[in-house]
Amino acid sequence: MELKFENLTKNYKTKIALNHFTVSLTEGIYGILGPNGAGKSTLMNLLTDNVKRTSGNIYFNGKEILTLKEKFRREIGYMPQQQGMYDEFSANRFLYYIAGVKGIPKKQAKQEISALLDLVGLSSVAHRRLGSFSGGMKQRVLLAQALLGNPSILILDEPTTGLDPEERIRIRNYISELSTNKIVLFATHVVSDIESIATEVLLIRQGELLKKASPLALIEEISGKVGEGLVTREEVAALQKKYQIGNVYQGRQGLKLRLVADELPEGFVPVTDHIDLEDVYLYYLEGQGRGDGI
Amino acid sequence: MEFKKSFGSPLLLTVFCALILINGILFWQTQRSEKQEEVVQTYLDRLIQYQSELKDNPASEELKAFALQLTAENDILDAYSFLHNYEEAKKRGQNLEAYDLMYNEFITKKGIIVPEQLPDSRSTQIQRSANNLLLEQINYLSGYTNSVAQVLKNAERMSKIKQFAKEGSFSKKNILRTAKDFQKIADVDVALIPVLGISAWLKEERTDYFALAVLLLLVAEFFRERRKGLWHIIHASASGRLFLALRRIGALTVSSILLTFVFYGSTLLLSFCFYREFAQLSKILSAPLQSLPEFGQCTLAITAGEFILTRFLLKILVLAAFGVLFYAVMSCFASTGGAVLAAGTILGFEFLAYQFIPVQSFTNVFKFINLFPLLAGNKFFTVYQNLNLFTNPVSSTLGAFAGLIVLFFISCFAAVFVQIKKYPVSGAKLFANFFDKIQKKFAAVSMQTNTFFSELFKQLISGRGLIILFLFAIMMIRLPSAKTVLYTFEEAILLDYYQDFEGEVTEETFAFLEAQKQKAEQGKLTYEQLSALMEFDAYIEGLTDYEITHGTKLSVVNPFGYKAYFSPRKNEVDEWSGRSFRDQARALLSIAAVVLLVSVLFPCEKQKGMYPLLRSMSRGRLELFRAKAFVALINCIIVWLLAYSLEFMEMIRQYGLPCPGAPVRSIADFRDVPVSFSIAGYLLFLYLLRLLVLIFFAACTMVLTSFFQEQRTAVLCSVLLLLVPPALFFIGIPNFLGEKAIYWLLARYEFSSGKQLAAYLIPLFASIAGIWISLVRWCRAK
Repeated sequence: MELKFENLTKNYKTKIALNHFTVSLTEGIYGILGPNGAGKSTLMNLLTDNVKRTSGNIYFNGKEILTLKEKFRREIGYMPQQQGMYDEFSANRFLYYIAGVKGIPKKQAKQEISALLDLVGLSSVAHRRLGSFSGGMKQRVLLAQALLGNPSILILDEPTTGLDPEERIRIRNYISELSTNKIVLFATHVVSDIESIATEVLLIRQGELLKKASPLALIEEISGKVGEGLVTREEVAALQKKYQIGNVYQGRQGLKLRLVADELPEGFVPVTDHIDLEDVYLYYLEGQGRGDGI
Repeated sequence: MEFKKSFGSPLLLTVFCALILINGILFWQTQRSEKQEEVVQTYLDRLIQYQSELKDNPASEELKAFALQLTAENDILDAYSFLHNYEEAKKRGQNLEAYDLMYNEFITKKGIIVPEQLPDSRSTQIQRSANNLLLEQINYLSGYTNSVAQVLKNAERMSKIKQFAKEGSFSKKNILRTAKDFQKIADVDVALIPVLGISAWLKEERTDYFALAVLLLLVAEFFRERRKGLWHIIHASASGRLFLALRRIGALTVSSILLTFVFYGSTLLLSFCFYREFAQLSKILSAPLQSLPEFGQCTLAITAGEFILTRFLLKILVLAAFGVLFYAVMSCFASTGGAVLAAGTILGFEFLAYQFIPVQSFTNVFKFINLFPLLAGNKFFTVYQNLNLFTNPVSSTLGAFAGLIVLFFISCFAAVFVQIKKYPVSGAKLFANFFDKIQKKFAAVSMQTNTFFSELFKQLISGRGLIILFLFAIMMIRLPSAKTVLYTFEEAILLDYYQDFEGEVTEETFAFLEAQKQKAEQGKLTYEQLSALMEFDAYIEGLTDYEITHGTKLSVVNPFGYKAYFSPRKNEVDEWSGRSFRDQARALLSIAAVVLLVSVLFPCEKQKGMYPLLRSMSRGRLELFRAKAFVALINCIIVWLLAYSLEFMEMIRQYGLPCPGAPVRSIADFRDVPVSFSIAGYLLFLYLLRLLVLIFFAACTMVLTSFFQEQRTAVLCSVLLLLVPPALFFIGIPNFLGEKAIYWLLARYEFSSGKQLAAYLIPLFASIAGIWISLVRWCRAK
């Protein structure tokens, strides 16, 4: 199974949302990482044919998705960023409704819905109105609907927004479990969500693909560029103007600051352990507005 | 502050202004449809003439003399009608030999020179209607003293009957009280004043509903804080409980005063204006209330002006008491939905109880102790009735005032109590739990993958379609006149002829006509019989002529019902009987219902953010569109059935369904219809055309709303473009679009020329195009 984006471009009047985006994906979990407005949602919308593309192609197993039409749509499960739902529907009714729109036969829908509600832990509240659900519960319903019909491509646009840490971990684990024989596109700007589960990470900035690599490879790439040092409050402000600043925390010896830079400032010690995707994010994607970074 | 805040809400302000305007326009239109302006003017001119001839307090003999004069005038006017019919028949070339004797005798008797002295039929009708109005009033005034004396005499007689004379019993006390009350008005000097203005003002029920609607909206505005999630903050603040409740009660009271004066005051002014009574205003206001025929039984010795103020006071009390009561009830609910539902349920129950519980029913307590009769309130003044309060008779008027004051204070106490005791966070989610239980109970029903049912559920429940349909059904039930048909003497005779000779024209029919004509020649027929015979004769002649020229055999059909409901000819009877008003109101309301129902169908997904998700699914485009379009069609069918099945049933109840299999051209008015149907076929065809026009409006709404992301904007735009033109036409502002919309839906007058059937190709093709455009917008728009 292959999903290929070729020179995909989307312009909104003068703004370029996606610029000659080219990448080829096979089975696995792909974390799409980028700041707000980087083009993640546009990419999702182009894939679901909710936005008209300016140019370029998307191929699924060698065939353009616009010619495949509903055959392609049958292969996808989409979890949008917005929690738009019908408040008067119960979770159960909502999932049956979606099953209908997906064209899943009633018998199959019954089995799948029951299993999915168990999976996302909502069986006990299946008959409650969605209007009375918390944000986390709604996210789980949205995930369940995306999984209905066992789609081979799972498009998840910021699936963990608004969730508490426990729910975040739970949803992350579901996705990890379900990813076998699927292409999972997981768009987020919360780095920790994809760190442990992504096969590969796509770093997007201003509509362009910056990097496509495994989390480990990305971490290795910035090895030696992450440093920590003791600073005063006045120095923090000065350093902030010049470098990508990570966490600042109060230690026993004073104020400790973590930053990412090609050349670490004087007094800063390179970190060898505990480098994570957050540092990668900082290195590649932060400060783009200031024109520095990579 | 609460008053200012609530009335500052754009929604409330808009609804308030719109309802004042609608109330005024509807009132004016109703008066126009019920009484022509010429009739009003003629009535007034004649009344002023009589006033100048009378002393301030006319003796009943003088009034009786006027009554005799008017009756004599009416005889002449009836003669004019006959002569007019005769002249018309003569012009048509009808053989009138049989009627000549009566005609000549009639002319000699009344001394009318025809046609020079013969007024046109319209002015005769106007004069007759004005005379009737005045005659009725003069008869009442001349008989007033006698009728009061009769009541006193009856009281005296009854008090001597053993059955009622038991000391200390309610019946005895009631008789004595009645005598005492009527004694107070026995010496009232009733005056001859214009009475149409106040009568019309009293009869106007819509104003009650409009004022109540604004008041309930105001109460709903108090819940804005709950909708916006500010309840916690307000409830936690120092003046957020007791003082807030008191401020709101104050706001409701002030609003009740304002609404009463604005709504009822404007209707009263319009009424005086329509009936041209401003010149006589001081006379009217200072006249004893009993001068108005409606108040013959009212024992309050007050003037008409004092009555107007009393009625205002009653309306203020009713609005304030029920406003605060609804505020108390709605405050019990945390969610606005629950509060509105509770208020709606109470209102619905009250309305249905008021409308449908028979007076004799053992449940009639719900009918009488009810919001709606209290809101209307007229009977407390026009009907003399004493309530039994521990065997003491208490005037129902006093009872109503006292009851309302008690209700107001109890409601105030309840509202304050609920405002203080109801907490924003509570474990008891009554409605949420109730709905969850229902969802669980009907889980099997919800386990449907059929998208049509889900779309229907969404539209009716989430889109508030059920409420629209409920309100529409109530309006449709209220719309038809419940009165039985009243035939004139002439019409009653004609009706007998039609019924006796129903079916094909036979030798027997001709023999009957011949025999009747002979009777006419011998002067054995009355004027009404003569007129009826002339018309029936002309009708039979028309049927036989048609058979000769077209070769199609027609039948004798009783045409009264078909003409009243479906005649393709515009006629004055439609205007006078108010049928035109009801037909147009039904058409306008049907369009409104379809537009409002369908306008939420497509933007719903866009507003809720579901559109991209659904479009990403295999059946989320064409198939989902089909389901939605089918829901729109079902909406049209429901509206169509509600609107027109009731009309059809009303027609059958009033007129029956004579000769459904006969050719439709058997009815003279329908001779030009473009296709030769049977009557049943023709009616079915008309009703299907009406359905087509409703589908056309649904299609237009679908197209318009497909351009909007937000439900409210979509609804507003649809209403502006599709509903405003027919509404303007309805209120008398001519415009092409509005006229077409209403007349297409009436599916009547378009056939008057016999060539207009092609006009229906426009809604047909426009519907197809509209559905196609919205399909493209739904499936292809990105």
